[in-house]
Amino acid sequence: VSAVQREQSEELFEVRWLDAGGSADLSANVEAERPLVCLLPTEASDVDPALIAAARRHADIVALGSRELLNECLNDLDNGGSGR
Amino acid sequence: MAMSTEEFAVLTASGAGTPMGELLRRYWVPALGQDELPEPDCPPVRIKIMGEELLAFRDTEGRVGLIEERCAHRCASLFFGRNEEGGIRCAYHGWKYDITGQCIDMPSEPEKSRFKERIKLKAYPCIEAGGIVWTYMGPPEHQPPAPSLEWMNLPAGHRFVSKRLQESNWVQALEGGMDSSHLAFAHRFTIEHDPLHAGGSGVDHLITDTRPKFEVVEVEGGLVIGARREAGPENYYWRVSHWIMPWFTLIPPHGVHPLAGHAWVPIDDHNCWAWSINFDVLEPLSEEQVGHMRAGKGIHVRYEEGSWRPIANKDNDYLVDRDAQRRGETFSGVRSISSQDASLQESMGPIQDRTKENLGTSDIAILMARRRLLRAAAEVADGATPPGIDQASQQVRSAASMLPRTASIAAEIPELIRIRPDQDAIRV
Repeated sequence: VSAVQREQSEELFEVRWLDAGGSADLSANVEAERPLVCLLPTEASDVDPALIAAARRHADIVALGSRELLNECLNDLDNGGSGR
Repeated sequence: MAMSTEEFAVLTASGAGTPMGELLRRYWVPALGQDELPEPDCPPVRIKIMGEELLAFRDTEGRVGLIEERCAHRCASLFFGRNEEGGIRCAYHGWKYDITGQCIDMPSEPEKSRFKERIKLKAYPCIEAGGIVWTYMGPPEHQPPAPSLEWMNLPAGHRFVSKRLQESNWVQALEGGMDSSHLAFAHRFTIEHDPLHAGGSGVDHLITDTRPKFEVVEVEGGLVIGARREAGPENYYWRVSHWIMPWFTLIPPHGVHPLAGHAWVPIDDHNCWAWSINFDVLEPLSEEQVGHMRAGKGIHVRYEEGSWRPIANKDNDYLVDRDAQRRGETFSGVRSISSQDASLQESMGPIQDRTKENLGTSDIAILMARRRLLRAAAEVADGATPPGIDQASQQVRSAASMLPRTASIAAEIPELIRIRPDQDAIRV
């Protein structure tokens, strides 16, 4: 895999942290060209339930886990897996 | 930083003294089938687990021992020994060991010698449950409670357990067990006809929607992995599977067929045991079902004579049948479900070169599992308790359900995966 392809991988999907994007209109991503990845840290509190419900409706991937784990996985995903 | 080559080396190395090896040794390990040691004083069995060459035997009192394979005297294999009168006696010079590894007889030394008292082979404690002999290879002071997966606690007739050799690192085998999206490709056509998978509306949804959406939840003992597929204008078809640390997966139900799960246990870093379990929580498995399992249908295989190696293996290209592929009987030409998985996972190399992979968003569960394993290994090295050793983490069920599009799977998950002793799993 070339370096060019790796750089492009960041453009391949859209990420929303649900604890930091309360006003985001996730439904807009239905028409977007990139898959939507929604991340919900277990440490988060007061996340709008409507936002979580919207994520479940519209996201391609919803991941719930510790913030540290989700951050690591996001970095791995940015790199198409890893090991490089 | 993305996962590094060094971290992958940690992830895939299971030997004693390695971080992952030390983590894995803190769990009860499925070691061998109970039926491999069918009666007291029966022939011993050589078994390799996480790079350690061991010998299992059932002594005169019916107790199972798991000790170093080689005699402490000249390192001859005790496999050639005599299992009789409370121990295994080396065929070379007659040294004899009990199930604790203690040398209890040394007939080649002077009669008044006390040398035998100083000789003890490494030995691991064993328990028998769920058709399997389990062993604990970690520090004695950290021995966890006995494992308690649902299939282990059922009457014997409700369960069928098999194992096969998989010639790959255990992690890439495990990763296949938490990857719902491969079903529509690797197992297409086969699951439509296999007697332990066919029927039910779920298969149709699996085949027609090849792009499942995932909802993955980190839990104390591993991951709950929800995969949803299109199922008409009002519903989604959800499959909820589990990864239970460190090596168990539970497969969502297929129609009315028995439930299923796996355990992926390192033999060494290039091979693993793929344990496959079918079970019915309410009724004994029928003769017909067991017949199919013995014949290598479903998640089971047929073996090369006298071994745990499948008949379809890498030396014969898994008996790939291009005509069957062309006729649409199988997707890849490989016939059985487990051999389809093995052919693909072994083709990645004994230890997959992760520098060449390109994971997508649908691989999120694999990414989460890798990170959880690495984190657990680091935490245990720092003195923490391993995650998932408690029985509650293991007492969950897989599920397959048709839910309204408006339903929240997170709200549904606790009910979907809860074990209700007198009720079947949730399935469609």
